[in-house]
Amino acid sequence: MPQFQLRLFVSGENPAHARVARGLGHIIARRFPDTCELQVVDVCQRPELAERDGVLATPTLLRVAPLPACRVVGELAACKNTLAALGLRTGVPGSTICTALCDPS
Amino acid sequence: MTEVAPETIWNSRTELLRALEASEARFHAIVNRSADGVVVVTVNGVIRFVNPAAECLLGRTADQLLGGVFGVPIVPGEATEIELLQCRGQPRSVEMRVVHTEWLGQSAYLATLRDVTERKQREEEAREGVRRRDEFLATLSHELRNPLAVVVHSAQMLQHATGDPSSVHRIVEVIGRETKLMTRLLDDLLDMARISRGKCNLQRERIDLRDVVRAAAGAVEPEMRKRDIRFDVHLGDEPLPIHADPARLQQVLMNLLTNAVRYGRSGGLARLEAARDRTDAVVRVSDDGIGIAPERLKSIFEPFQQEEPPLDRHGVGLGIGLTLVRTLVQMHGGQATAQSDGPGLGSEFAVRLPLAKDLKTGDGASHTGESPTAAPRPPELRILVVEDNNAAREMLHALLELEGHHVAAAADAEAAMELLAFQPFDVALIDIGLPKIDGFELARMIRARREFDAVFLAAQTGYGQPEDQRRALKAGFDVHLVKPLDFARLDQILVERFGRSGQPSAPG
Repeated sequence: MPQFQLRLFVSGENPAHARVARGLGHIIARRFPDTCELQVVDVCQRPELAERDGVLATPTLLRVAPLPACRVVGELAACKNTLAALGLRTGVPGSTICTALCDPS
Repeated sequence: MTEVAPETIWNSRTELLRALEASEARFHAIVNRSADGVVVVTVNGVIRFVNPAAECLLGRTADQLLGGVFGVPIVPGEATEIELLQCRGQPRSVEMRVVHTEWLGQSAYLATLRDVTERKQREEEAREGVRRRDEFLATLSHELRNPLAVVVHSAQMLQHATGDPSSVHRIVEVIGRETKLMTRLLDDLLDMARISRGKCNLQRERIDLRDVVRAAAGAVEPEMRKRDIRFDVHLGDEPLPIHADPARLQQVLMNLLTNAVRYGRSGGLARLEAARDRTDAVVRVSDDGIGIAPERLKSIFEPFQQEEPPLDRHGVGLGIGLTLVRTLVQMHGGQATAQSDGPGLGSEFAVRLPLAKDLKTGDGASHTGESPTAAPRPPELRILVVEDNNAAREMLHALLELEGHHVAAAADAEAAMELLAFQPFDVALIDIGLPKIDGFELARMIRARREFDAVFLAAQTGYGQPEDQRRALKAGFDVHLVKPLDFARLDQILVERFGRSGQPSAPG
């Protein structure tokens, strides 16, 4: 079981969201192939999953494990920002996902 | 140190509190009335505040939202677009902006959410429009290229024709057919452009709809016969007086009938019927051909929607014919509808037009407009064409000669002045956009010479603005015409000035 479990909620028809999913998948496969797992949920196909996790907007990135769960909403599309959101670049205050991923102790 | 009375402290404290309350009330009023959603979340993404607009956008009440997790908003630039998932209904596209703020002494984010769903839809529609236009332009060039290729090929064949009159005749016939097709395509296109710029005016007059229907039926009859389609026309005895532009209505009917030829079944049946339905006149055109699928039926009158052409691509059109039909019928205060039971089951188009209120003159409709064939023609005239574009000059030259005039042509103002000096002209048709000396200047030069006083000066420009007209008349032109030259209009002007063919011409 990978240490980090991420869940990305996207709206299936939105091309920008598809880019986010591809970008994130790519980064994780390259940098954290063993420690991180990404699950992509299309809220149009699986609205019940969005409801279960109380997702209010897309794109939302949810860290399921390790606890505590936390989430970010918004611009995850550009590669640089995606890296930032994942904590691969420092200097994004307040984003717990970043610190957690940056410092997987 | 001076003592301050306790009640003074008390009073200023009360005032302060009041001021604070007032300030807070103002803040609340502004935020609550804001059309943008306002959400305050903690650094962990927990919702601390929502305004009514945000409740609305999120489709949930403040009670449901407060204490819940929205997520940490990430907006690297000024704004980002996200989709809000409502409990019910379609997700809304919103533009999110984020600033850092404090909430009850804690660091927090204030996110504003602006609904851009409609804007995005409009953008999407605009993109779709552009896509359809591109597609249309591709079709257009293709559709023009086909008949053009035939014409070019025929011209080559004529060059090598051995003088066998029947083969020459056949080739000429082909050229005639293909150019007619091209003309129709271009006419439709020009009309669409004119209508979409609001430049199409109806020349309404009282007519019997049956006359127009009869004329259209006569025009399309040979085509029907060629495709072996039985063509039934039912007009009834009762006159159908309407207040309409006969040329435009004819265009409407021709479009529908040509479709019946194009999409009808070879060896099948086409029907054309005009009848009265209470206060309306209704024309129906039906065929038993390829029909229309239900999903296409609702958009069949939209521009650039074209039914899949039959495999042999017999006379494929551009997909603007029906849009033209609907628009022209609507301009007449009427309605155009389409009906089909599905592919292969034929289709029926109906045009419904309000009958003219006063029915008295129902039988004699032709006293107003004159039919094109009966239009009076001017006498033979000596015409000077001044046009720098070679193709346009040669074309005008040829066409005016076909009309029976004596024509000379010049490519610029100097050549025109030379020709005028050596031979008399009744009319000079002058393009405004000439090189070196423009048309305005040429008109002034001509008007400056007494001996040319009798020459009728017609300006030709691509612009029909009132300002262009004024300038032309001021330069000495008698009349201002817009390109492409409308020969019927030119004839009319020349008749006004020089009288009809067969009558003695006016002095000039």
